[in-house]
Amino acid sequence: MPTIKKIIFLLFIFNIIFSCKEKNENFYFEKVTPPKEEPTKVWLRKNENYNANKEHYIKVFLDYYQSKISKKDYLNASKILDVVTTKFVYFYDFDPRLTKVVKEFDEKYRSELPPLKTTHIDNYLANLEFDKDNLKKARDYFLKITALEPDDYKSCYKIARAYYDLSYTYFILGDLKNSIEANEKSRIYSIRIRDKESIASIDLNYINIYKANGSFEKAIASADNVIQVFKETGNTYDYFMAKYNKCSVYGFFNKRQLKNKYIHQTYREYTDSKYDNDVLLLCISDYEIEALIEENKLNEARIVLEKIKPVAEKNTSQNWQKDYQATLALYQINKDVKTCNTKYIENSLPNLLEHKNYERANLFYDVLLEKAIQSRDLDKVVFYNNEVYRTKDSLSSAKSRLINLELAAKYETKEKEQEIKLQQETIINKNAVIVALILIFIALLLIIIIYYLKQKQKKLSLEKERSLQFTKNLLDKTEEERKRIASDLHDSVSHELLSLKHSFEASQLQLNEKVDNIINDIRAISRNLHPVLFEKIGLEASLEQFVERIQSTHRFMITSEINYQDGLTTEKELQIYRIVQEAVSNIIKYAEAIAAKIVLTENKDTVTLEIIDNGKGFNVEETMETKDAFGLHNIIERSKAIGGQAHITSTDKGTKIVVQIKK
Amino acid sequence: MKILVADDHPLTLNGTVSYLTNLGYNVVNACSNGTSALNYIQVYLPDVAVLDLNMPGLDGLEVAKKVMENKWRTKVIILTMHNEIGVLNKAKEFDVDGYILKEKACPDLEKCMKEIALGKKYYSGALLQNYTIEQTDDLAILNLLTLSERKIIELIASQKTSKQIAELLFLSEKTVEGHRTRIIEKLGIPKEKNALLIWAIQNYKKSL
Repeated sequence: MPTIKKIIFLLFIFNIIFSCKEKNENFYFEKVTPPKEEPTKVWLRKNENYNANKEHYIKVFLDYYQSKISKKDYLNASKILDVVTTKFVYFYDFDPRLTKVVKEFDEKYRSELPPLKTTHIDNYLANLEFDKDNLKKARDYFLKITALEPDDYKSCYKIARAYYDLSYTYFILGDLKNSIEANEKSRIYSIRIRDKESIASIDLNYINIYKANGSFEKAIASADNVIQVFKETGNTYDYFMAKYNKCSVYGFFNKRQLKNKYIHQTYREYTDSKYDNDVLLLCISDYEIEALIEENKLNEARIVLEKIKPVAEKNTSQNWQKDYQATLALYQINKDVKTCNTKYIENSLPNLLEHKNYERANLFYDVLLEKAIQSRDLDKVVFYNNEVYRTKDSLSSAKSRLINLELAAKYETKEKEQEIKLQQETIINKNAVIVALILIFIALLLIIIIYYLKQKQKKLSLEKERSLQFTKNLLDKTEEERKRIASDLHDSVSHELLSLKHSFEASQLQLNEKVDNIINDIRAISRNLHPVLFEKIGLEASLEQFVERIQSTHRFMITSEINYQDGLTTEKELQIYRIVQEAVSNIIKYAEAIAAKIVLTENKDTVTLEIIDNGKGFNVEETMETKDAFGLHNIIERSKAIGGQAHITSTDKGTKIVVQIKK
Repeated sequence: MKILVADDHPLTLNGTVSYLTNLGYNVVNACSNGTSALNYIQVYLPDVAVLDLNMPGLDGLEVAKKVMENKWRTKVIILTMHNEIGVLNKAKEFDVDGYILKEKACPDLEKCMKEIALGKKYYSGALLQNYTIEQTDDLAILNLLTLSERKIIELIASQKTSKQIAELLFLSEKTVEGHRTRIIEKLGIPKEKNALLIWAIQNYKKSL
């Protein structure tokens, strides 16, 4: 019954494994390696191609895109659009040509594809609106994406990203509650794809959220965490972005010295890194310039400004454009307040306020405050000072601050719990796999052992049966032998003696002859029982004698080739003699051979006996199974008894018995 | 001529002693085992030792071996019931001067003594008698041939080449060739090409 137990056991193990797998499939999405892509697509994926020559990059993209559209291959057109829009958004590049293509696709072809496959359209449009300070529109586009439920790794990634952006949008809008909630949603979806960077990005938003809530330590802690993660993953862009955000925290809490020190360090690190990215250059440089102005290092500030000027002018992002303008104005104010041009800033402000972009409004009011201070316009100083605080508060009103802090704290604990839960789950899963593996291993081991034991048992029982059969045959044979001796004695010797008794009157010669016959009869009987004087004359002579007798009595052609130097004990020699007897008697009885040969060879460690005939042969295995294979078993058993091994091979060309005996 | 007789059967011993005495030989000692026989031979070196084969202590062959090894001048005659070529060969190895079967002792021992007196060796003529093949062939001339030779001629009759014959009989080709020459000699067949083959086919067809 162990077999049934084994099967149940195995089923149990498989059950465990499968149940583990199923649980994973419900919640997590595994990253799939994409199939081989067309070379153009691969080329378009690479940042360096965009950086090297943007015009060429756009041309390649448009050609590829148009060819797909003309073939009505909307899926691949959408896919390439995904690649390119993601890249442009990443670089804050809202090129009008791309915008046109996106809008056209949105109107004409989008309906051909499932919503989950076209989230990048909404993403691009959202970012576009965001950049134009149309924050509510941007929010709505993001909400469109987050309304979907993911069905694979990619869509889940997109949704996590949309929640992240949504969170930031809410933050800018001053809606911290929704910002936190969206951020937490982003965390959940990031966990579902187990993407370390996505999970880390959550903290990127928390830098701002804590900042707005007035929690300096937590904001810095979040920043440090993100910086650490991106350093580990080697994501240079987000690494510097996190540092930039940390700087903004210092600035927000008026830690001027810390901020200046930190931005100098970051700016140096950035320029040393040779990492070339327009957005990073602009934002880090802006802070650097600001710091230099504050430290009254106007010349150095001018050098940096001139360095970023061409980059800023070519950049299509309005956000960074505004930041650059603010920095530029700040420089000019400090250089010479009379000639400075703050028109751009003053003109932009109403629009910013209308769109509730309080963060940038705050920045602009700061610039204008600086101008008022420099020009000693006290009325304006008071007004702008008020505006600076108002816009700052708008990011997070004092009233809601406490509530939001609590909310964040709640999420924080929840997040930790979730993290612990996740870790536990992973550990349990890992343990389950380990246990399953161990169980499988044990099961396999058991199967092997059971199989081995079974085989052994089978072999043993077979052997036992054989030896039983052998014993029985041996007893039968002994009985037969006795019968033969009895009848020999009775038939020949007794009769001869009787006839001798009757012929006492006969002549001396006749009597003599009769007595001789009796003597010869007894000789024959005795010879059959045991080779005469075997111990005296040895194996070689006995075998030769045997061969001669077989030749003469059976008229059977048998030869011998003996090369033996008495290396074995007499007992072993006798067994060899018996084996030869048995084999030859078999040959004579069954083989129908023309001739046979006995070869006895003594080597260094072994003695080899070969008995060959050219008879009709037999099936060794089959014959061994039959009951009347006593002769063969006799040979094998005798070989074993003297520490040897018998190999019997047979074909239709003859039979060969080889016995190897260790000395 | 001083003679020693050794046999573990008192009846046979006495019989042999009286037989030899009657013939006029001087039996100086009669022993019932091999050990005392050897001791006597060692000390007195009789001219002839008539030894039984199976004896307690040392047997006849062992005594003969000692005599040969020590190069004593005593001549050894084995008197035994064993009619075996192997035993005779062994005895010859030990350089015995006579080998006589007990059942033929009556005339043979006397002959043997005479031969030995002349410095010759004598082995009972009755030996090997039971090895002679019972001839059943009609062709009397075939009786001259040994078993190997007959087998070969059989195979020649079935038109086998020497090589094939050698393979079939587990012999070397050279041996077969040797046998062929001897057959031709024994049967007196003219030494012509294929003469043996023709003879074999003509005379041996029936056994095919």
